[in-house]
Amino acid sequence: MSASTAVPTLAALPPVGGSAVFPSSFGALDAALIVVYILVTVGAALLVRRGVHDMADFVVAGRSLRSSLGVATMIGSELGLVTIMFSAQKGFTGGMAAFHIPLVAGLTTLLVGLTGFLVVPLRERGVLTIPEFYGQRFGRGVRVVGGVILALAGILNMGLFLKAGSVFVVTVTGMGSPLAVKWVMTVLLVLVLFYVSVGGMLAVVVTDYIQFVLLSIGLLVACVVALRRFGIDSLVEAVQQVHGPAGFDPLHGDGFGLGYVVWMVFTAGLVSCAIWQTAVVRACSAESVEVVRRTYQISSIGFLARFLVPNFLGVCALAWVVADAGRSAVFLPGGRPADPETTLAVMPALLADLLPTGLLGLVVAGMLAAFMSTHDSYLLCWSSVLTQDVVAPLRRRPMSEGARLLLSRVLIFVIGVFLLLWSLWYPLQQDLWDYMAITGAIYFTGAFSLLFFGLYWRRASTAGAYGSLACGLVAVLGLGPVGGALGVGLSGEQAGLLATGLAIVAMVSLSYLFPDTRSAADDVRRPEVSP
Amino acid sequence: MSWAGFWLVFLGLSLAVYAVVALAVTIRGGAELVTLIRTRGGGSREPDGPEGNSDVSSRGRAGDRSGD
Repeated sequence: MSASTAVPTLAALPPVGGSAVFPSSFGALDAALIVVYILVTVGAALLVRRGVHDMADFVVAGRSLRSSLGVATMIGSELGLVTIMFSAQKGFTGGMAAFHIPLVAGLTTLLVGLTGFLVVPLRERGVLTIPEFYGQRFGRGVRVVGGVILALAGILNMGLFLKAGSVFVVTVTGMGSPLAVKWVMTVLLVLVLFYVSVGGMLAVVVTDYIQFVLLSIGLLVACVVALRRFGIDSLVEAVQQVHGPAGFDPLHGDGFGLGYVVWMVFTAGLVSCAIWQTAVVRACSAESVEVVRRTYQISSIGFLARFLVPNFLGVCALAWVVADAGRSAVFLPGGRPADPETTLAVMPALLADLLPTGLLGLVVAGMLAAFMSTHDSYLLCWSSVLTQDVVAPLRRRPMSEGARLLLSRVLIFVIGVFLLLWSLWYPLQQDLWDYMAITGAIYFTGAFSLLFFGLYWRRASTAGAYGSLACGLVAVLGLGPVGGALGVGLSGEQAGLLATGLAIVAMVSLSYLFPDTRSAADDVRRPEVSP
Repeated sequence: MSWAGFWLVFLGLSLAVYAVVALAVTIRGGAELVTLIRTRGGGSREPDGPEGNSDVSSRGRAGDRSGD
């Protein structure tokens, strides 16, 4: 499909927020705040540049993060601009019932922090990446295969971040042109590439902290402003009017339903905090096991808030739209939420109208920080995985520190260029959240099995690991075009749960049928690389 | 309690707790960040592992306590 037909799905959105119908209060003060933010972050990257000596510095900041900074960076990375946009969309399209997502996310993260489930044994092994654990536990082959699957799934997963982020910036600032989306994407990518390739994880930590502060203040103030403007009664009435009982009860058959809630416990809960590499790297970056536990316990409120705050803004957007016939015609045609591409823009359109000049700039700067933070974390993560877990293990001679750093930086650039091309050319034919969940599931359905059984079951074998990784690929059937081409009518949650079940069955059955000859118990107790 | 009441209480409590945690993390995290930049951003840190050791996982461990 050509660019001219691919871009309009999201590119058509900016005029919604930037037109005369929904004017933006974005002004010179807001622009000045954003410029100051960019100058501060670039200066910080140059400042910490001298602190990057080796891959441990580059990837996990020398494992020197303490609790509070660990919390700020973990929330900073996971409270991304895209998360805010699709969570606000969920609040808009699902009503208050969408609040079950932050509830299960917060509770699951707290349980992980209290029990140390998965993350503590990973930290004790001293690994930098999850495939590195695969290598320790199942051998080099599984590490390489797992690294390739992780990196490919991760890169595809963030494939549309650039487009969604640009749509936010363009909509909220009122630029209002499809060409502006492309230019903003390019400028933002250049900024991110410069930043992360120069400073590595130390620079990421700085960005994460700035983002955490700006977004925490900005979003909480936005919630207060929205609440004062609409009032609780209006919010409840708007949800009741558009969604009925299903807008409050997450188990209601006309809304999310039990299957979706279970899928959220796994994805928004366990996966996002304990299996997804960009979150796990924070555990690997922690100073000690005690810090890991404390970081997760405190971060649980952040994992809750990262969904809850934008969910709430989405509910506020519902009241904002219901109150105006012009907005309803755009976002609620026929009384029902519009197509996903349109409703994705409802939150930035609300912010542009709701927030006064100055505060809007603060929030947009925070969103820019969120955009950069997510991108630099992810770019760093996937380039590190490809370097450490794919290229280095395949070489006969060990790679030097300098060679690894150089390769990681080159890969960051290559991935960045790919993301730009993907954002420009890929036709978004389904809901952004579904696309992200399925591309992520290609990795995490198999990864869950390898991590869980690899860490806690001595008989888990290499054959079982290969089988689990292969079964994870079944999740791709949840992608609309793939499922359609193969005649498989599975929803995203069905494909994901099916892949997870198959991966578990494959691990158990193949481990019994083809046990490892060496002692798995020795693997569990004695990692190849001593901490 | 109705679902709407439950979610509103949940929302209010969660936002209040998050505001307190965010304030504490901002203050303490800021101090930790300054320490981190001073100790690791200055370029004076000695390498952790032996020269030529490409095993990055054995590096940057207990000796890298930035604030100590």
